[in-house]
Amino acid sequence: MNKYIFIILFINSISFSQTLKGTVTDSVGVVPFVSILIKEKNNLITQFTTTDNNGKYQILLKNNKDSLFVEVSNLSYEPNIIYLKDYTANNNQITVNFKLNARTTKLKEVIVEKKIPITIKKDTLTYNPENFKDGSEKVVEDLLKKLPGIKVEDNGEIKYRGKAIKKMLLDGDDLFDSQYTIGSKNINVEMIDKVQGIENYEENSLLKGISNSDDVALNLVLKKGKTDFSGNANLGYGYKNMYNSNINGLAINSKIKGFGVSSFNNVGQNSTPYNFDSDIISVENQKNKNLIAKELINQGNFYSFLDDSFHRLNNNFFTSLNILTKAYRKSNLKINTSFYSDKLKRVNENNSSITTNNDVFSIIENNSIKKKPTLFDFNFAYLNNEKEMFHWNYIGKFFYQKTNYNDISSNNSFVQENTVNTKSFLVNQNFSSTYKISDSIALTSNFTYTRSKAPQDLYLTPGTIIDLNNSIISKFQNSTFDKENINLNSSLFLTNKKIKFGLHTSFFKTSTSLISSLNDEFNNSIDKNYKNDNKYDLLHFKMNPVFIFNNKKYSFKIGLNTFYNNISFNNYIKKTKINEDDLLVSPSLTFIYRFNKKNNTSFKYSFNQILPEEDKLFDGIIQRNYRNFASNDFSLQYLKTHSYLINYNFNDYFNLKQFSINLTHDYRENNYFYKSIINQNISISNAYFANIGNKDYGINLSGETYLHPLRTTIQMSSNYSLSFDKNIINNSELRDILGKTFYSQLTARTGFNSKINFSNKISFINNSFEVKKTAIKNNFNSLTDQFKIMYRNNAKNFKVDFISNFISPDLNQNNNYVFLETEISHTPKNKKISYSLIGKNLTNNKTFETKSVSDYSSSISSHNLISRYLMLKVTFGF
Amino acid sequence: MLKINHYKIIVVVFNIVKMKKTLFSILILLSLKTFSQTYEVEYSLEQTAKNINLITNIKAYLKGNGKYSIYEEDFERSRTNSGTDSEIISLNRNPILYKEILEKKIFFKDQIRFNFFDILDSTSVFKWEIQKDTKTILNYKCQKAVCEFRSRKYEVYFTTELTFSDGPWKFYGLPGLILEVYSNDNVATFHFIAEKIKIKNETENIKNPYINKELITFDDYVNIYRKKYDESLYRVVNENGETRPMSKGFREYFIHE
Repeated sequence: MNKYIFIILFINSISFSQTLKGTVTDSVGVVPFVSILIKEKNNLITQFTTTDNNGKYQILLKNNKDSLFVEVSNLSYEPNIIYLKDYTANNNQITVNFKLNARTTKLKEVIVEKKIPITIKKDTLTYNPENFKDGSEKVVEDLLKKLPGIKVEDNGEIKYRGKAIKKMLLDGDDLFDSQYTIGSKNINVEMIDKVQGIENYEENSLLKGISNSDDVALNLVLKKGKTDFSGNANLGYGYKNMYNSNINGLAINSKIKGFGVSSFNNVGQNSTPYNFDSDIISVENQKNKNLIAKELINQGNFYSFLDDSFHRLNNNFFTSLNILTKAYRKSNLKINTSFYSDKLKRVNENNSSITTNNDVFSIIENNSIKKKPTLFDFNFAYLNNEKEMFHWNYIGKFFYQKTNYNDISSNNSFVQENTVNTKSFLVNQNFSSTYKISDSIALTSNFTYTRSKAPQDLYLTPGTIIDLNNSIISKFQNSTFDKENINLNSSLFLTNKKIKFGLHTSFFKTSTSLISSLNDEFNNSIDKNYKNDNKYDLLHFKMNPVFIFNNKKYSFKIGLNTFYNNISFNNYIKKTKINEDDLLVSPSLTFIYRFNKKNNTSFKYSFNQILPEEDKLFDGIIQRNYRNFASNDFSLQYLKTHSYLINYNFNDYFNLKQFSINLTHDYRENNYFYKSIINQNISISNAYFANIGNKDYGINLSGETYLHPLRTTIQMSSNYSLSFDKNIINNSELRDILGKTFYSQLTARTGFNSKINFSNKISFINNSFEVKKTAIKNNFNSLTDQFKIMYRNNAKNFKVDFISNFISPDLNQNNNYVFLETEISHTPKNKKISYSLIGKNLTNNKTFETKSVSDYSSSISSHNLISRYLMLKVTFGF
Repeated sequence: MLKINHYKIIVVVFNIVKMKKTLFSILILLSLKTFSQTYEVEYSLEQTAKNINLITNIKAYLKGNGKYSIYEEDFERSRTNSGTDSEIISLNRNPILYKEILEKKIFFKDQIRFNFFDILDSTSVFKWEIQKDTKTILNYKCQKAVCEFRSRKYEVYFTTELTFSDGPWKFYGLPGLILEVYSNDNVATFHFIAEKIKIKNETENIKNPYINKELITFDDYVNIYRKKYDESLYRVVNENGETRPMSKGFREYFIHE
């Protein structure tokens, strides 16, 4: 039975596979490349084919021929239709030839168009978007470190394509202003949809295309459809009494964006925009550098060769709230408030060996420091963008900081208690407007008023003996800088495709006063030489025309800064007054040449003439701490500096190779030099101005490449600098100092597809000082190596990191350190919560000792460290 | 999606030439035989990259004479029209694709990590399967066809009222002009839709912009892509040992694991 069914089926299937073939011709000959359409009765096409070079076609029909018709379709010929039921199959082959007739009517020329209403959709560009693979990034800063062209510095400063970003926007809105580290260090990466890098960032949308902005910015686009309120929390507790907690929340809706963060830790971490313990200027302070009153009294040396997490004994509480809301139709209202409070502790030991012309002696210092800064920062901004061609905004800032500093110091066995109280405040009001005159012309104007005051008090118990007869003892130093600044700026921007021209005019009036007095045990001022009461008024008017030309191959920028200064300096102690009028020009030139996409070079030159800052103009002696005194020989001369920079970049992203070299040279026609007197009890440093040239040279190389056979990325960075300086120590002659620094770092990272990977970073420093025409030479070498082992399991939810740091601060001595730390983390399946176990300073190093040299001293310093601890941390999102 | 609010047709009618004997008709025959129509189509392309949730809207322009066609996607224009200038990768030129339809050759440009290649693709073969659905686009009756091309499934609508075997991007080989293309998978969504069609009764010589360029074959390009893709699987980009693998392809898949 089965055999018969099979045969019937076979016959049936055969009867349906008919082949249709034929030739198409017209009055001239064969017609190649014309379409043959097989259609059904409803005029729908079921199959098609085209004739070949010889006008022949062949097709295997899918359906029964009787239901089909064939159409030859081409715009040059009249349509030709035949019905297959009119033809018979021969051996399951049907032959149909077509004879085409040319179309007699010329085809109508048509333009058919559809009008679509303009829908506003966000247009962002990527040509071939790359996968940003989700790794174990927790906060935005972790994600940013992985993006091409984005670099995150130690203090959290973000650089895009080598330039520091001006802003980090959230969905195009500026919520954080310069305090973007609040966002980058705290926002959960899960909230971020994509990161956009913006070049030629012009905060002012009216200036787009007109001004030449070199600025760059980042924009974080948030995920849509995510809950309106989200955040995450980090709670860590360690043995003994170590805390590290952080909670932050982001609330978004169409009207309001708000971000709040609160953190508390005593493990040395600082995820705030403020920094009190080292020479790294925090992002927040960089912005206000010239506006905020200076502080002359020293508040502790917290410098360390090591990373913060090893040595920064702190007790830090920080909270910040940032709100941005839409006001009216196109305007924004922004409020930022931050509160910061910390308790920093440090124990320093310093043993310096001083070598001057005839003398060699040592200074031994011990310090036990407690520093408590507290600050409050409030910013308010209203941005009005209602009118299309005219935007204006108002920004107000209030900043208050109070620092309480206490140091039990021992200076060659002389013990003193030092207390410094500093209060600093800054008020800033700013009003700006932009008027777009046309597509190629815009005018901006800006008015700012700033007032800042920073009173400081230093109390010493017992006082410091100043003179050789032991008769003058200083107990109390007060010092207050008061600064007021009014600034009016106006800029005109013109553009003409390749050429951009800006004329920047500005007027500012700065008034800085310093009142200081060094008092003895009876709270009387010691004498006139230890007092300051001065007022420095500067009226500055400037016109800076800048001309920019941009072309595919090269671009250049020329600026001719012309300025007029009216200076008045009143010294109320000496009863002198100086007035000066100056008209000066400071030119600058930048030239960039692009060989091709991979290579470019640039050259920059500028000549600057700047007036000394207020901390170089006081001539009364100020006591900075228990043994250091400072003063200046007053001089109102301009510091003239010629700066040169040559740079070459090679960037072959395709072959994953990158290399750059920078050469810098600064030549100063004149400068401030130091006359110092150093003895066992005190050091006095006096800065004086001299028309003596000094200069420095620097060369910097860096590169990166990827070796695929070893699956290893290698990065290298080297720096060599030479400085030619001069100074006077203990009544010597003017000495010529040659300082040389060499720094080199090599990093290798593996990327095996296995569970374990390594990375190693080795660095070497050589520092040397030489005093010419003498035998005085100081030199030291130090070496560090960091080795890291990383284990990740297959599901990528369990990881172990183990880091070892080997440090040899002075290769000539056998005093080496090994620091070990580890972190084990686990994220269970539901993903919302993760656990980590952290162990720091496993070898329990208690102090860290380093060596440093200068042209007159060689010192061994040590400070204490955070003792070994084990911490359990829980992280969860909400 | 696009909303149709307004529909406008401009029809320009040229002289209707009456059939005359001899010379005149032969001339017409000859000129007509050499495909004397030129078509210009403006498409609107919306592409969505799903992994980073990025939607791009641009215009694309196709111009052909039946034998040769040139196709350009206008990323440059949409860049300057956007509210904020924002792109991480900025390419200065629009991608241009040239087709030699009868020879089945496609010339185009693509990049791997910012290194650009001029590619000759002779292996773009579309095995179209015609389906029953129909719709009207811009007053032309269209029928649906589907195919799988380089690991992606496409649905297109083409019209036999315009018998040009062409379409946007690399698409060609149907007995009519493709006016709409749609594709959706877990990497991306593409949607091309014709918004403006212009037919001219003249022959226009469409030059090949790749004529003097150094070309590599599509297979060579895929090999280079594969090599760089392998490198990206192992190259560590930060201190946490993380790698950032390249995508397996976007419009076309180059890696098929």
